[in-house]
Amino acid sequence: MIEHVQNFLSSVSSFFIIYMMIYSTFLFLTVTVGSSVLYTKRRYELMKNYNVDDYYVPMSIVVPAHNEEITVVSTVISLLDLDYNLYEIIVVDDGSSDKTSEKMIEYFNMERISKPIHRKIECQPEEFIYAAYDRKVPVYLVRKRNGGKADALNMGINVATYPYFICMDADSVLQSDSLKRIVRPVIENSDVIAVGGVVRPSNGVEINQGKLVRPYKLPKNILAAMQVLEYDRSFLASRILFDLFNGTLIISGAFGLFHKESVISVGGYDSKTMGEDMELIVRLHVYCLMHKSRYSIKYAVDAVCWSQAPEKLGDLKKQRRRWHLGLFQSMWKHRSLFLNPKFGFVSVVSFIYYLIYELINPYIELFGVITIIIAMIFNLINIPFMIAFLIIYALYGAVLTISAFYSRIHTMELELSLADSIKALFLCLFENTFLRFYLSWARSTAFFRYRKKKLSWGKIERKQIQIK
Amino acid sequence: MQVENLIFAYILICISMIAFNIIALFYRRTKVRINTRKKDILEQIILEQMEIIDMNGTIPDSHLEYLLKTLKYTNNLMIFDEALSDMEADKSKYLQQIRPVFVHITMVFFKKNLVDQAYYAYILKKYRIGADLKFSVMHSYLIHLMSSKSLYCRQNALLALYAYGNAEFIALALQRLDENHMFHHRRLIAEGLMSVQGDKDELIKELISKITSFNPEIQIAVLNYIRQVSSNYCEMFADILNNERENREVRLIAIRYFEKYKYQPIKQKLIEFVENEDILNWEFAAVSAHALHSYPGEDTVRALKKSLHSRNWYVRLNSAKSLVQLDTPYLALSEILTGKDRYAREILQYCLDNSEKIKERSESA
Repeated sequence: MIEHVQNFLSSVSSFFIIYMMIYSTFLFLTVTVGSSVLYTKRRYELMKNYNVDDYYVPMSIVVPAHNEEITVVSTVISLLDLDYNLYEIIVVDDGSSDKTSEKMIEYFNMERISKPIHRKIECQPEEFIYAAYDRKVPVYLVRKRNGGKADALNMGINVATYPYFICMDADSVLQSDSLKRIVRPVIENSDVIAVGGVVRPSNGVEINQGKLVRPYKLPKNILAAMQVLEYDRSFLASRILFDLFNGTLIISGAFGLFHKESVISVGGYDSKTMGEDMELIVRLHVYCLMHKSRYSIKYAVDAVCWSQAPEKLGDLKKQRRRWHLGLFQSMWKHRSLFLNPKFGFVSVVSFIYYLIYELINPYIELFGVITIIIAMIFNLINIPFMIAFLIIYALYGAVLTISAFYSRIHTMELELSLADSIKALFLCLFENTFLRFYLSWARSTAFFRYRKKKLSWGKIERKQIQIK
Repeated sequence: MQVENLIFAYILICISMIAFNIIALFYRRTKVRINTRKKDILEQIILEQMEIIDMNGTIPDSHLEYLLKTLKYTNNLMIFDEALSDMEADKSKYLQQIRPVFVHITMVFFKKNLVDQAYYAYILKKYRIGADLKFSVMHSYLIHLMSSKSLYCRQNALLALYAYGNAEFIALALQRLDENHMFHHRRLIAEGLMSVQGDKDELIKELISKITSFNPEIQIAVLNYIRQVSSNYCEMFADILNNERENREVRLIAIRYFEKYKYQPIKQKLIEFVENEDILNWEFAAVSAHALHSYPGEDTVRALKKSLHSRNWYVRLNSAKSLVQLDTPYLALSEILTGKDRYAREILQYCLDNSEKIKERSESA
């Protein structure tokens, strides 16, 4: 019996060594490549290479909203402050039970209009449309029957006038230069059909007329501060690497630019999926690859959107569960991508990465914990060695995280106080150990709470964004 | 044993990355300090030279040699640019006198990497170095950049040529762009052309002389530019529109041209487009419907009313907009507003309501 257990544990340990080696190599690559790209872009900026910012590609900003009475007005105010000339704002109130629409109508002095909607994508019908034309750009409010975020986005696409649209969240804030930066890949390459922006936690950040108020400070809330570090490592680094090979599988629903007709060609957002943002990108890849169309899905590392990160563990858990379920739904729906060489890099690298290191990863880690317990029971484990290994591994992750964080700080020319620097160093370690395991556990339990018709938006506590 | 090697490898990587971060931090801070000091020194030197010029003197050769040695390095050129930008005094005489330096360093930048080359083109544009010359090595440099695979090199070079305002070189630059089959967004070209200083008619003549050799993207950009600035090319655009073998988008621009500049002989053609129910040509119908607001008449109103029933949304929308812009009497529209076609009714009503609101807003303003 002991022999069998030994053999089993030996196989498991070999598996984990290979698993962790691949992940650490990937992490190392993503952080070094990501940092290198950031520094290169910074150099381009300093050497006045980006002289395309005065050329405006017209776009519609679609803001789906559900019970966002606290933040929707300030979000639209911030959108009116953007350093861009050719755009419109469309807020889609997805059947809110609070005063989202009333707040908009009152603040912007909107008038009811009878604008016919060109229904290119099916969605729940509208109840009324309001407009304000006396602002810098037209602002529309479309109130519709509740259908979920994806459905609201589809309505926004139907209402949109311009050939490109931005999807963003009602609790997010763009910087004044965000539109110019997110549109750059479109100007560089006519094949670009979607561009993802960078989402950063807005907790503790102050925005004044679309510009970040310096000095930059880490959020006071420890959980939010750890998410700042996590976002820089996970979102920034891995997405930059995949971007180099047209392998981006996710564009955050908080900030993305899309070519409208391309999205309409694939049928718009899927209202039956929780992770509608990822599902759309995967579907765009599949569609273009199947039709052998020239296309590119890019990532604009300097197009920033500030979004509230959950400050309570309960809210964070809900968010990550929702993301995990969305990930599962998207991957299951497009399982034909699995190891299918017809789909190239997207299938062979991106899809496999998300499958193993994002979707199944919580269960693999759980399995690892179980095998450690088994090994302890049978006294087949060198505990000091194991602890040393885990500490080194955590330290490795922490160093890479802090490198990603600092490369962003340096390239954005932000000054971080000594207190925040020390805080970041400690939180890196904490984030790579305890928070990681907590989130793994949260994700692994996502399916137990899953109910089929849960098309809910996911409530987290909202705070007023600090905008001046 | 292998696992221990792995642990050592991780430790080594951790140490290397920590060291890299610390070195990068110190390097960045030191570089900022050094560059600031260099800038202050250079500023002082330049001010002294400007004083010499103000006393009707000539800049000594030693200063030119100093600049020649210094400015061939991109970092120093950036410091030079910062120093000049901070000065409020008139720099034109100084730049005129140091022009020989730029003739030499242009040759150096021919061989540098793409980022540096784009930056140098930016400097040429900013200070218009060589703009008053008919031809110089700076012109050659900028034309050379039009073959670059970097969009930003090409764009900075184009901007510099626009700033120079030499029509012949602008046309040559676009020709070079076309020959190299590089994607260069049409908006960059069209809107960039709008920034050209100098004789626009001469520029248009140069562009038209080469237009048939351009690919459709550049043709579209050039025609859009002509559409924005000149009404003297109705016959040329009419020929484009009437040529069915011409690129689709190019022909659509011709229609937009006739929306902006009324040309009576083309009216019947526009009406024919609007009345054509071929679904493959909906764009011609839609753009023509939009353009017809510039061509009042009973035949126009008749055609637009008919096209309100089109199966295509954009044709209906543009027809409604034009009918409203033509101030078509309510009586003429009543059959649509009370008719059975819900789509025609709704879209026309929306355009009428919108027009009322616009009038109210302008009256109250």
